[in-house]
Amino acid sequence: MIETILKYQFLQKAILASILTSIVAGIIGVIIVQKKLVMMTGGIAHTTYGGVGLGYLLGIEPILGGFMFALGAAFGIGYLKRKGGVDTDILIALFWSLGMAAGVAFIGLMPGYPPDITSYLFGNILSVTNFDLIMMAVLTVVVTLSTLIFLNDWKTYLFDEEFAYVRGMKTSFMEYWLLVLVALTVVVLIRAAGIMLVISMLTAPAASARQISKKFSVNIILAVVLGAVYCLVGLGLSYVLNIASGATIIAVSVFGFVLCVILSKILKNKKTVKN
Amino acid sequence: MIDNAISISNLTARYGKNIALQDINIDVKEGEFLALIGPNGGGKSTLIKAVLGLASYEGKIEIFGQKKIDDVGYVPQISAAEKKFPISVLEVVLSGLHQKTLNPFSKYSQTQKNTAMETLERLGIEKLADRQIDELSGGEFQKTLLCRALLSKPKILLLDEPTANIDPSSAKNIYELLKELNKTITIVMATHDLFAVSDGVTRLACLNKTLVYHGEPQLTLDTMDKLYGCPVDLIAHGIPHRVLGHHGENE
Repeated sequence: MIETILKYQFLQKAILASILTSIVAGIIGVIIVQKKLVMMTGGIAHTTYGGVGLGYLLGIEPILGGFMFALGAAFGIGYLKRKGGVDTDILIALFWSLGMAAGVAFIGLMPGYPPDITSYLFGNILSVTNFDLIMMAVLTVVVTLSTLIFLNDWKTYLFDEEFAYVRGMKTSFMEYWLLVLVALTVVVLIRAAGIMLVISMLTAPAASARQISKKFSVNIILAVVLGAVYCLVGLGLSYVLNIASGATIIAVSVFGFVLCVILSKILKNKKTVKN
Repeated sequence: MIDNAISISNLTARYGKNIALQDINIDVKEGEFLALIGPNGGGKSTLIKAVLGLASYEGKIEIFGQKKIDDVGYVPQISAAEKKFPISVLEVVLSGLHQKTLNPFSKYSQTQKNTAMETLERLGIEKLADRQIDELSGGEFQKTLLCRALLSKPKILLLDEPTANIDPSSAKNIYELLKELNKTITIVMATHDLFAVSDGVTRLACLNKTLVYHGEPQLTLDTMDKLYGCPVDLIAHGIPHRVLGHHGENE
């Protein structure tokens, strides 16, 4: 196995990409699972499809188009939510479907044969380019530093937004900032897991970690480690079975989560028996 | 002359098209322990949120003659959802020290931790410092939130239903703590628990969209009638304060 990895550059890139995605997915996953922003994240992820389509149509790097659309969705949903009047889940659904529709429309407008965009929908970590890797690395650094440097502020905000506001924190700024971080994370994850599968890459490691520990910082570390394990095992399976990596990574992640649930149940039972 | 800790004039608050509070005028004097009572939807929480700037309103609210809320400590109503957050008691309490600006690379200092521990001790829950909040009982969690509010050394404490969803003996304990705290801090507490009124409370305000009553902590049946719109069974208890005035056999 190691020999194969050393031999093929695309495998080395895939492993590097797995580790980068696990870091952002672990950190932001713990936050969105805790803040119940999973569907919001799904909305932002699917809106990026419009950007990918526009990227193809304009002949620029599709992921850059996706990046712009992800940020647009984050600010759009955040602003309209603050303005009130429409329920958040309705906003999410509209952004979600409009983004997908725009993507299909943009691809349809392209002359000649349509490009193969399944890798954006379902992800293919084995085909990441150097450009993808640089972009992922930069975004991972941005997301990681933004969260870790201000960890205590995030804890105060995430635990009780109203109290944070009363203590003078600019909670609207924190909300937008969080949505931007979610958008950046989505962009990092799209190459590995694809638009359709981004949410499970964010939730499975975080939810697994939650079964094991009740501490915020430990949760983040565990989610990153478990995410990396899920990703690498999924990647291995993808290589061996020759199936799209997005599918194998998600299958392994969900299986891992179920395993964590069962294990924590068994451990809890043992504890109660002892007591 | 005693200063007004909180001065509310001509306050009206709306939820969409519905009026939650109409033309409220209340002054809270420094050192007072004011209980806000009234039915659900009567506007108790809205009034507290308006004072904190969490709800929009028309009218004027001043705290020690200013618009700033720096001197106010807030103890929100506890919710089951918050209790699932992976955070320890000590971390929750320390978050009460949050400053206006963001604090990059912040670590709580030993002095800050000591202050937090002292406050926990004062409320008798220092042993719980390292517990995760989802292992706490309702009463313990409520005290944790009270500690968090106290850490910024507020001159005024605002509490929203501090005894909702907790058992009677914990509730009694919390009222005793509040009575003790009231020696140095002005307290405003929203509650639907009428028992609370008799213990330590120095002023009473009854809200049902409008201010039905504001004065001494003595309730008349007439006020209760206005407040709840129907006769209410009340058990008066406690000396020296009675919720209801004494009444004879013939009444």
